[in-house]
Amino acid sequence: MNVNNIPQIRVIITTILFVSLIPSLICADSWSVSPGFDTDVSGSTSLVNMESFVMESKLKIRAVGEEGVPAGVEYMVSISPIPGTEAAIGTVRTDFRGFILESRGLNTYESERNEWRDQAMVSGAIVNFMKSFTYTSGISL
Amino acid sequence: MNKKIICVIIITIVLALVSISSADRLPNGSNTTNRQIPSETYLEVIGQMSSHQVYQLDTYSNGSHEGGFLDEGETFSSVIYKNDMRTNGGYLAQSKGLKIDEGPQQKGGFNVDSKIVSTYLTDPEIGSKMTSSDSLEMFNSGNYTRSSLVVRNPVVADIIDDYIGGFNSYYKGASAVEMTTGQVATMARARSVGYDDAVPAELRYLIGIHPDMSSGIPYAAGTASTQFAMTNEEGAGNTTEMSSTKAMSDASTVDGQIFTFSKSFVVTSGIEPN
Repeated sequence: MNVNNIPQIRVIITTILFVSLIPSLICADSWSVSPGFDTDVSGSTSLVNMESFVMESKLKIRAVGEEGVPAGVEYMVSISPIPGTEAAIGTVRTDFRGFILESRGLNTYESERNEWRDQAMVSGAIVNFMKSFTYTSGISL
Repeated sequence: MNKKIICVIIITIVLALVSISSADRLPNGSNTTNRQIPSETYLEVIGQMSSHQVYQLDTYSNGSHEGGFLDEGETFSSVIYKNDMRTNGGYLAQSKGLKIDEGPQQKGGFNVDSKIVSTYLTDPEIGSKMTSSDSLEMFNSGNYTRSSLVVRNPVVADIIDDYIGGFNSYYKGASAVEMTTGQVATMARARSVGYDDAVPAELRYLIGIHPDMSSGIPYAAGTASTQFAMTNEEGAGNTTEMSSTKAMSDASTVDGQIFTFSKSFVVTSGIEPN
């Protein structure tokens, strides 16, 4: 029995060596912003075991502005194959969330609650994956 | 003996339910302008995908109270949108957009606006499937109010400077789909914050299932179910007596080879000034 197992063990060791030698990439990207009035908006993207891909991400945050200019966040992430190849291979996760509380006039109780969460996970041969997020908040008098 | 059960379903259901009750008054938004697009997604993948999305907007006309009771004239509205989707392999192309505007809306505007189109083709080697569930719910409530609006009423010609009764309303549009091939489109929209008392509350939900023509298969295969519901109760004048209740619900399920399946639900509720 033991003699029969040796070639199998060899195959397993070779496979492990082969898999561990394949180049892969793990990366994460995240941001968080609190523009006031008890607002918390955040997002993150993480890539796991990506073999070949093109990633483009764009983040714009306006947290300090002149009066009347709304606070704003723009975030975009795009995963696509390297030109000439068919697909990007690997796993991408995204997580966007926000929580906003507002009150009215001199009232200390909440008048508005605005809460969201968006999670996505894509795994496999990715031909195109684009996700974007826009948030603006200001005062109109 | 090869036992094959071939189920061919051709269904075209167009259900438009329009209910106008003299009930819902929406809370007005505060002076802040908030516009969010929590997600806009374009995806094309061969492999697995899972996504989970929740959105909630609660608006009080005068701020919340301890105990939750509304004073005379006060209103409250809450909208909840949920979307879950998962595949365990196969080909998926998706375009998905959720737009949010928490500010006050005019007639025709929406606070929550979601559109999703997904095209799916199974991987026959592993028998993969796409499952998705989607729901939009809105709850509106208001205490009685003295109104200077001239309200159209078939019994009494004009109601001027009289009381509009309190109300509780609940609306829901939801769908669940499990398919191996085909295209699903859903649209969910709600208006829960209005500029003034004359802007009606509105919820719209639409689902359509079609074959994916590019796959060469002339039908969509899978199971789809929808659920639409509306309940509404109104008080008489400035009393706590109930003056009217309404309830409606609609559920349907289809299973098999679907050539066309479409269902829509529209509900509006408000005060119509003369």
